[in-house]
Amino acid sequence: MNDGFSLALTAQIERSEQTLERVRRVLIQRLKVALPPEQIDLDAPLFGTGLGLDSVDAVELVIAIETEFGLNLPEGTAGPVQFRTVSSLLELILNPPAVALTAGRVSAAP
Amino acid sequence: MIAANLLAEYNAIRSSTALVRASHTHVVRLHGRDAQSAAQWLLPSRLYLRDAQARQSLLLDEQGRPLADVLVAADDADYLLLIDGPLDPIPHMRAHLRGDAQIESLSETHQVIEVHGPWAWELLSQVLGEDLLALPYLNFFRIDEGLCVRAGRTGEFGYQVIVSRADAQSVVDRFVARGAEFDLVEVSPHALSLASFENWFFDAHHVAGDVTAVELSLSWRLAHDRDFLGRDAIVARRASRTRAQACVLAAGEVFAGDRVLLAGRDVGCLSRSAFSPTRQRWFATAQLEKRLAFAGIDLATERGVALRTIAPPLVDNQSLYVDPRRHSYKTRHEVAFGVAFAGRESPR
Amino acid sequence: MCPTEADGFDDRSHSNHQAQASLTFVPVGALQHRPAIVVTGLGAISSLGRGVAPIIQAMVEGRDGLSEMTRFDITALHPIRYAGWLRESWERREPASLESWVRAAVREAWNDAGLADVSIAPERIAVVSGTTLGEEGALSRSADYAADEVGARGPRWTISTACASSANSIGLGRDLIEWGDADVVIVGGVEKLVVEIMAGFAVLGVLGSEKCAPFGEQIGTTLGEGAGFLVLERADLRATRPRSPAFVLGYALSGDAWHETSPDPRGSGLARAISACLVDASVEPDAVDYVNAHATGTAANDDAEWRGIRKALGARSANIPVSASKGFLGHAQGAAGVLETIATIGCMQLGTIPPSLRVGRGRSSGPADTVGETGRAREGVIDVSLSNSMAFGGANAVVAVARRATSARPVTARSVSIEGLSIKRTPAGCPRDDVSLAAACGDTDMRAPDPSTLYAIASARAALGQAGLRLSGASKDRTGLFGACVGPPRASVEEYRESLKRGLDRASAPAFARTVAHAPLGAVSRALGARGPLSMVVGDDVAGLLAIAYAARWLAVRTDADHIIAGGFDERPLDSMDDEGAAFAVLSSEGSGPLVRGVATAATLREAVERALSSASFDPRSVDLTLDASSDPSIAYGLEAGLEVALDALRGEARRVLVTAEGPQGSVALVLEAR
Repeated sequence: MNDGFSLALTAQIERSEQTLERVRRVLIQRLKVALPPEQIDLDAPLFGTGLGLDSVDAVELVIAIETEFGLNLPEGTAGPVQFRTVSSLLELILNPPAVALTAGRVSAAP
Repeated sequence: MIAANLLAEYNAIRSSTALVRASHTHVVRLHGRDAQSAAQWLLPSRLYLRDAQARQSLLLDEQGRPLADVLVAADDADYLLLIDGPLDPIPHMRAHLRGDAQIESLSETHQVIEVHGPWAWELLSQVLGEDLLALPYLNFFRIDEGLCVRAGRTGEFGYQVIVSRADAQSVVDRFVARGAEFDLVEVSPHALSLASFENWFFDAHHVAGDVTAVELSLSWRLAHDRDFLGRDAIVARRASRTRAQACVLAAGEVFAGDRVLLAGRDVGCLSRSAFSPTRQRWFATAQLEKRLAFAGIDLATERGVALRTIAPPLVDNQSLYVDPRRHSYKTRHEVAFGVAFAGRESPR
Repeated sequence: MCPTEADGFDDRSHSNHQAQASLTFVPVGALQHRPAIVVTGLGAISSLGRGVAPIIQAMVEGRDGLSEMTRFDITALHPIRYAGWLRESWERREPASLESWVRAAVREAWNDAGLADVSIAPERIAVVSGTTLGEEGALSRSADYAADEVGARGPRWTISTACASSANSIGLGRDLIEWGDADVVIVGGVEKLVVEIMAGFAVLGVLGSEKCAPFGEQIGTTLGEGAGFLVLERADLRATRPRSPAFVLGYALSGDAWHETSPDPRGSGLARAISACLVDASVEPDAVDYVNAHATGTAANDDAEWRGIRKALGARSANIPVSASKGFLGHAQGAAGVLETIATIGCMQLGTIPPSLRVGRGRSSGPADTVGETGRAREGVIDVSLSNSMAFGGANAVVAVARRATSARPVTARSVSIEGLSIKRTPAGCPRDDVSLAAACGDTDMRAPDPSTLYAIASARAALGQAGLRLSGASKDRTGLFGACVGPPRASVEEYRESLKRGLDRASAPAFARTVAHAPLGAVSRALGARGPLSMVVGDDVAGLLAIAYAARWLAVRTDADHIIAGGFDERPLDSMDDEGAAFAVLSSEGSGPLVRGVATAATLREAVERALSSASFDPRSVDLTLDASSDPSIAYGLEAGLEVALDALRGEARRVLVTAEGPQGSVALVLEAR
């Protein structure tokens, strides 16, 4: 698709779009989020009553993302900040940190 | 960039405790035999709720445009609605009410006191009872004085205490008295709104122009398997939409209405902007061509201010690191808070 | 009959089996007082060794039975190392055998009761065993081993509400004697720790890296295993007085209707169970001397439990000793309730109060007295004790045990009727219609429901609708849920098993939470808001009618529920196209539907029928129709062939209908009468 973007930007967007589609698929198939993919917005909070994930799902989400994207997220790199919204999760996947940035817990945001 | 008094209020929200004496939030109880079907028409969100559980919802008009931000909670067979928006929601709700259901506005008889901040839980439990330490996010508990809802919208712990008008002053007094040990600051709607914006919570006061829940990235709040007021417009819009909302960090001051350019081409505009005290940068909501809503894309305003789309929120909230079981405001220096954001998302 | 002595033993009427026969359902007839039920024998095998004595000894010495698990490899779960496992016997090269543990504990209890040389009609000995996993998923096997060990041939119940299982079993055993279904009941439970269970708890994030410290600062639990059984008898029928008797004064069950793995943080569900238990036991909160807490040491449990205790005991909670045995035994899940009751009785008999271990400075909010100052049992007199159990799915059970029986308590009797019945099923060979099933579940949390859950919610909800009931407010607290199934939900068990292939530390926590047998029932409780008594009967085709019999009697003689949604469900194996579905009835006290006039469970169908009819004071010839609810291996289909046809007949010409079921777990008969 040509939106008049540069080649580099097009590649960057396509990568994001593909990643988003995979994240949505993981959320629906593995985490059993009961929404059609197009309603899983970038801004959707992962935990709480938004997508309906709760503390029981936290580890499962990490494993599902690691498995789907072949990542190995070191302890502490997949914390509460990275697991706030679909878009922050996308960031984590597209730019996985090499070392722990934070040491917080994964939980529903207060 | 930011007035000193506003900054003091903001800092209280972000690092100690903040009080809103009389919130503008409307409180409405929806009850009656057909309360469920009435709620299902008036509110576009899924409504499955365990008793005492709450969910983010909206009030939409027929065109699918959000009139208000709603928190809906199941109170036995009734629905308790906390409604925030620029308009009085009651006429809208009455106009669209269906079946044997009644709308009772509690705002005439009740006052909403809000407490926010990473240590709000501790102050709250000392004033209103230890049980509230157990109150989970997006739930409410009954208390002697009324109801306490936990539905923070600043990224920090946040509570709405709903009490009768007759009791409100004494509850406020108790918060103020106990709050001395928690550096409690009374905060304005403005400070709260800024903190909420930084954490990317939806704010119905700042919906610009003809946008529906779809463009506002709020589709996740909508039920997909039943009809509701505004649904037809939403479905149509989902098929035809060209824009999406993104969060942008700016290299300089930016304004709502600024056009956004990509390689000289107009790709959208900013709809709300503010200076982030935490990030020490301007940031904004941008309505962009929908493929540009991803994080990490470099743009500019027509005035030449560099922008970069980012994944919100802008704050690594202290509340994420505070554990009510182990920590206390008195010994807050023992808490290891998160490291600030790395620089890679900043615009050039 | 006269009110019995305060200690419950009435030498004038021992071995009076005529009196037994009159201890019946509705109307109760001659017996106006509930008999005292005494614990005559204790038996245990645990991480502290073989027998009851090592547990009590360890508590006196302040020594735990937790050690690094080496029976199977859990290095992948690092830093989790500890478990309260049966190391000693394993090191003696004895295999970890559920069967041998059950037999050892039952044998010890039986001998302790002095019944080894006494002749008791085998048909009058019943068994109630509680377990989460049973023998590799064969849940009802432990009750078979227990029965076989002493030659018991009476009804053989299995209760599976995970960590509340064996506490529920103790209470149900008490009921079976009160109802006249048995003279002697062996009650208890067993759990064998397997690597899959450890992995499941680990990924849920509730296992600590150190030995657990209930009510202590350190967060996290340690799992355990073992078996514990008690022998219960009617005190007034006992020829010889036990050395130092303990009486089962009462028990109660409740559901949180809150979350699949976490308790209601306010402790409301537990508080309701404690209060109902005190009513059942005729004990005031101020008379309670000691609480043996469930206290697993996790963040969610201990805080919620303490809030529940405070709510229920009020002012008494200010200084009451509340301790937890899990620091000694680990969390033995299905066996936890009975092992902790045994610890309580053992210490009680010794004139000591069971201690807590490793409390340290304690939590900011916890009992003032955790009996944790030295980690050793403290001298003290316990007359009345409570033992709490709190499980996944929000299932709570509380048992009251005392040194003396409460003075004669009147039997209450309310009418019980069936107000609605709904069956949702898929015939053999047909694909399941998930879409209409989900629609029948209404606006409910449909994230990853397994077929058992879908059927159970759809059917229970429709039954409520048929009964014209809208649950709200207090009626939610007074509406219970009794279920029956053959085993844990198959699809979720399979999903969990699949996830284990990713590695122990990468097992699926959400799937694990759904693998307990009563998980679908917990989902029903959340969908409907039913927070009354919650129980899960496991067995073959007879289990469905057993659950309904249990519910009918509960409503007749207790005052803590007005409605119980009772029935059962089954789920076809993944590779089969068998019958499957759910059938749930709404039973109500003082309702308007067809009456349940008599109920009995017994060793043989003939005896069950006779006793059910005699409890209803009906002439056998007055029965218009007899139906078999165990004519089909599917629980749902059995209830359709039995109960649904019976209700149809009662709407027509029939006045009195007998519904029966017969299977490996015994026989059950219900007498229904049209209005």
